[in-house]
Amino acid sequence: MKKLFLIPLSIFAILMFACAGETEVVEVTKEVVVEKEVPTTVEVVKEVPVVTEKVVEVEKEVVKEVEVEKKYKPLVIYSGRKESLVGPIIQAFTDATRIPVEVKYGSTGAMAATLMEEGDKTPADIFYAQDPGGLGSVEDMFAVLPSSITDKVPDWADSPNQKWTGITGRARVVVYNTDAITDPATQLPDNLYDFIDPKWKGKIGWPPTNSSFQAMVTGLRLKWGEEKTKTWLEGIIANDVKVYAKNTPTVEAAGAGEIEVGFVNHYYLHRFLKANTESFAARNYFLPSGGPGSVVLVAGAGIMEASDNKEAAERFMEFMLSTTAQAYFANEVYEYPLVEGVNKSYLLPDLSTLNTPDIDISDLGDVEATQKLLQDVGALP
Amino acid sequence: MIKNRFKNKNYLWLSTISTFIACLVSIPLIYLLFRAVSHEGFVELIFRERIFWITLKTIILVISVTLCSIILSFFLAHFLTKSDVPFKKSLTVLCCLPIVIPSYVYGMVFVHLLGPKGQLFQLLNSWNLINSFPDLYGFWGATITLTFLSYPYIFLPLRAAMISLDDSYEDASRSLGRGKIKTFYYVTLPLLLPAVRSGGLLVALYTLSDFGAVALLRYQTFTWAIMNMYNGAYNRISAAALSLLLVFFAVLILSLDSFYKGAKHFFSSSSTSNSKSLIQLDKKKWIVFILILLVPIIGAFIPVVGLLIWLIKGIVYGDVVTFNFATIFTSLKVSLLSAIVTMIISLPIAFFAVKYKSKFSLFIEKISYIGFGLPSIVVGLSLVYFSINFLFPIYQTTIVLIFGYSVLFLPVGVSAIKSTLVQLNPNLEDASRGLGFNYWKTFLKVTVPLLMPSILAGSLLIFLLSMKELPLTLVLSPLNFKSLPTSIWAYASEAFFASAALPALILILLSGPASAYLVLKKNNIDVRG
Repeated sequence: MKKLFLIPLSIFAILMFACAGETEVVEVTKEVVVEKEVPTTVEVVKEVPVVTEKVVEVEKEVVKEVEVEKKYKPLVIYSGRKESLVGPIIQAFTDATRIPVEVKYGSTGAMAATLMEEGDKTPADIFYAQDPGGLGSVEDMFAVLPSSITDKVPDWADSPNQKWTGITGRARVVVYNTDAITDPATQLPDNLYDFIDPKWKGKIGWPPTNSSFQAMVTGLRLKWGEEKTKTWLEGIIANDVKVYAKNTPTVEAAGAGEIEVGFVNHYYLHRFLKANTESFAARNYFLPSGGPGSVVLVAGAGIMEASDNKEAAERFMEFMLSTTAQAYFANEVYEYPLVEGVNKSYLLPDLSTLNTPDIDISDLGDVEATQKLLQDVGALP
Repeated sequence: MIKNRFKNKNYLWLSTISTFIACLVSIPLIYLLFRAVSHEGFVELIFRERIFWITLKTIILVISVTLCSIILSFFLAHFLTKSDVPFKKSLTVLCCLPIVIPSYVYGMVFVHLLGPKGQLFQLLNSWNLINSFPDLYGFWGATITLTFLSYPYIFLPLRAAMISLDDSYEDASRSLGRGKIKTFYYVTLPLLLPAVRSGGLLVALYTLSDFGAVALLRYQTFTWAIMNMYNGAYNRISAAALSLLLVFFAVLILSLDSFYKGAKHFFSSSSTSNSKSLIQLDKKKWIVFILILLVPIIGAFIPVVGLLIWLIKGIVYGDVVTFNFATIFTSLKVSLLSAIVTMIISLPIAFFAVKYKSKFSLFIEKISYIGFGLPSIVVGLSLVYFSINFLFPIYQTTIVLIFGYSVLFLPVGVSAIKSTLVQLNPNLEDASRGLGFNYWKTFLKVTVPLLMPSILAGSLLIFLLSMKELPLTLVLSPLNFKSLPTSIWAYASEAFFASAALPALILILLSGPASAYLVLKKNNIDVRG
């Protein structure tokens, strides 16, 4: 029995070995011909030489260009937002405009660092980032956007020098466990500051390395001042706050009851709710007294100064701020649309009812002093 | 001597090639120096109390993971080579499986299933069996996770060494009056040490550079601090400065390794040593069997079950599970290429270090280890900088990506070849040359065939590591590149667990046979020749 199970495995492995030895030991390749059971793998073997692979790529590009009647060269997007979120809408852009798109996905931090290493040689036309910090870090690599694009979003949601613009909004919330907190209106404080009360000891979670979190702390510094922010951070740390890697594990921990409250962005919860229907034991709490704890952040994009494809890039920006794309983000990703006339998801409270502080989003890109503060209090190394 | 003339010519060749390779793989190092120098507050950044504590935490984790892995590997290798434990072969294969599990996947599933309020707790709690579950976050969770993910780096070479161990040494020692323990300490251990050391080095460096598992298990190490600089602070300069410190640790580990006197070289003179007698476990054999089985259960079975739960749950709840089949072929293609290329460039380094053992050749060898101890995003960014500025035509092609894998995984290839090469009886090569074969003919007809099992084993390991490598792949990949790890990441990090589980399971399924082969092949070939 066990041996039978192992035979296909070792055939597979031998095939792989055949490839591994191809360059050195000619005899081994004979084995490939003998094993006819796994034809797909044999195809893989054929694809191995780099040269042929490159030829294939070139052919593909030619085909694509024929399809668009050689009108546009591909638009290159570096996306700090995951394919699972923006893939469909980027595809919709290509379908609508016939402009082919080539995307490089990665975390916003890694993509920003890549852009900085590339400098003016970057192949990217667009950088689509998850947060203002990411956009701010490469601001001097962006071209100025035409007003026709930046005018579509409210003033607070783009950079003052029109280098980048927000595309969607994401609110900072307190995610809470519904078993521990049955009546949030009475059990939870109405502002972020009061979580330093010792009664929250051991019940709070946060992701301090997350850039949205750090943007919120920047907001705290702007509104509360350094001293109060420091007291708050120290108070939360004194409450044995649990440190999570990012937003997703924090929300998951709140749902599992590992923590009672967590400081996160609002939309992660909706994925858990979607995946587990309503059984997921966590909900969002939009702090009613507003303040910097409920700041609305943006995900946004800018056009690279070095781009030689700016016309297509501008069309992409326009498309992302069109009703089609904004409605997609509102309904599929549960983010706040920034363009007037597009409705948010019925699951979310209205942006205007959210008691958001008047913070200009671009001011939240200043992460250095926030890093310093987080380091001083010991939230970050 | 006649040999010297050849030796000198070959020395020149080997040293040139090795030095060239060492220069290529030290690109990340040069890049880091270059970046860190431009950092104004370098000293302020490094010499802080918090950096000290995080350093201490990192060192403690490295030591504990390495020690645990060594102990676990000794336990497994001992019973799987020298006792009559039932289903030995299947157990051995199972024990290698954890190496195919990506650490970010393991961390995710571990928290989901075994967290203080995880699925297991909820299940047991719903039957009123328990009302609290041990909190495995932090040090213990990180140690368990990393140990179970990385012990195969030691187990594989250790097992091979135990199989090829010549019983006659031990017999001689015991017949001369040494007790069991003394024999183990003075005879067996020195024979096994090269395998333990090369594997242990990889485990230590792996622990140093891992990010996925430690972040998810909430244990803050140095790499975690570096990742914060990229993802939170968007400060690649500070990240470089901190990474440089990490290089320092890597160098420290490497020099600690060299600090021990180089292993005494034992060459087996007899060609066969099949006179092994198995330890009879009798009634205890099922206990040992279960103990051994626990290892792959924790290391491989748990993550697979966790992934299956996600997938099934997703399907039941009507989640749309999306999967792109092309990712499979992309993954296989780049990983195979990576294995071939890395193995080819490992050969000269290993040969140089073993055949012409000198301070210089050992230095070159150590250089090849640096990449493995760095967070792979650092290696990726250094190659972005290098290739866009000096090799623009190949920027964002598969070539750079493959080269990136090679920089990371070179030590795996080097140590695989080296551990066998050290044991290779030089008389065989001398005999070949005595019979009129020249150096290169001897190399091709005698040395390489003798090394083939290790070349193969090393290639497979590199293949497995390339299959699951994520941060480097994201940074260096060509545009529109989609492989299995990038798909896992694209969905998992946005909490689409069902869609993340499918590529993760396929990744494990595809890598499994390679790891099985890794074990089975070694059974049949006597590496000592």
